[in-house]
Amino acid sequence: MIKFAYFETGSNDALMVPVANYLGTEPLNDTTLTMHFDKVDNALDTSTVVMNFTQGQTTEAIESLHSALTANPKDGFIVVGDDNLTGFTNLEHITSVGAITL
Amino acid sequence: MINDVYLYFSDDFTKTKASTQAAAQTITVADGAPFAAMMDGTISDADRTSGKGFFHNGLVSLTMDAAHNDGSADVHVFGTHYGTVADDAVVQISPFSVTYAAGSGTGVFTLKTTSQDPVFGIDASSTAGENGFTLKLEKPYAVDQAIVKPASQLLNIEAVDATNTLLTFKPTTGDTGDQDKVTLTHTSNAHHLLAKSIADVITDARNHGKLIKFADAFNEIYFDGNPAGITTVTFAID
Repeated sequence: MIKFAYFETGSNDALMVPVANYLGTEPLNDTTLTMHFDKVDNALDTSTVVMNFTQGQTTEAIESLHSALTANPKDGFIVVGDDNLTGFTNLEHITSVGAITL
Repeated sequence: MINDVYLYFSDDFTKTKASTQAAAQTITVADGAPFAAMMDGTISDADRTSGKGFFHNGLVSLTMDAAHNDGSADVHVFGTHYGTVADDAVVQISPFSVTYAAGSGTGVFTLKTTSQDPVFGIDASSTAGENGFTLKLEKPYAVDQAIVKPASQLLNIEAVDATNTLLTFKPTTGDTGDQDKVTLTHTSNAHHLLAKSIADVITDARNHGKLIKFADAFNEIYFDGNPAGITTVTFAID
């Protein structure tokens, strides 16, 4: 089954990408990290999603995000972050979805 | 589908930085390794007392290098939390003892006085040279301090020399001709042990769908008991 990761920002920007296109994660500073995916238009570049987390909780946020990516929901749809969905609870240590760059 | 294995690597850089010394309640730490940029934002007095902020969250720890308590006029005075502190003792500063504000190219912690907080307060010495502190980074938090790579993006493993092995991954940026490189320094001629460790971590079904700390040099945690004797991790991220 193909799994998809879904992100939506508070400003209504959204992205769904196959988890198989995930390239890696690196911290940016004490409150943000960047998740990299194969470029959505298949160019040799990267599409990124910045995730914001509780200040100082870098490794905890990394673990939380990867627990989400490795989940196996029946429909393959993994909501990693959604700042608009009423009732959605952020992953532990995650505070919001930052900039989505395609 | 088979779940990927997410490999976590962290660097083993120097974790501490000394403060400047001043005859004041403030403890100033300038930007510079390992704090590429001192933390933004503030820890207010309300944050301090309610357990909020990066200090309470465990990002850093702060120690007084040597308590000055020799009976002279410029001694440190400690709140009850610290008990009786011997002269020249290293003192672990509680997160409940300080507020914080980002400065210009610096981060400034401010000790509460014993008048302000009889439990966690500390009165600094009136002699600047006695007020030496060390800030220690307890978790990686900046670029090139840690990275997670899916095992499926591993391109190859090659020996660099007797004590270094290079793991090459498809680049995080997706750029053609570039790679993400993680170099592991290990016991001499232990390449095969390292390669087998990588193979083990990837092929063991129990690891599928998990984040595995393969070489967390920052915390000296290594996969499978570190059979290759990894001592150093360095990155060259595209």
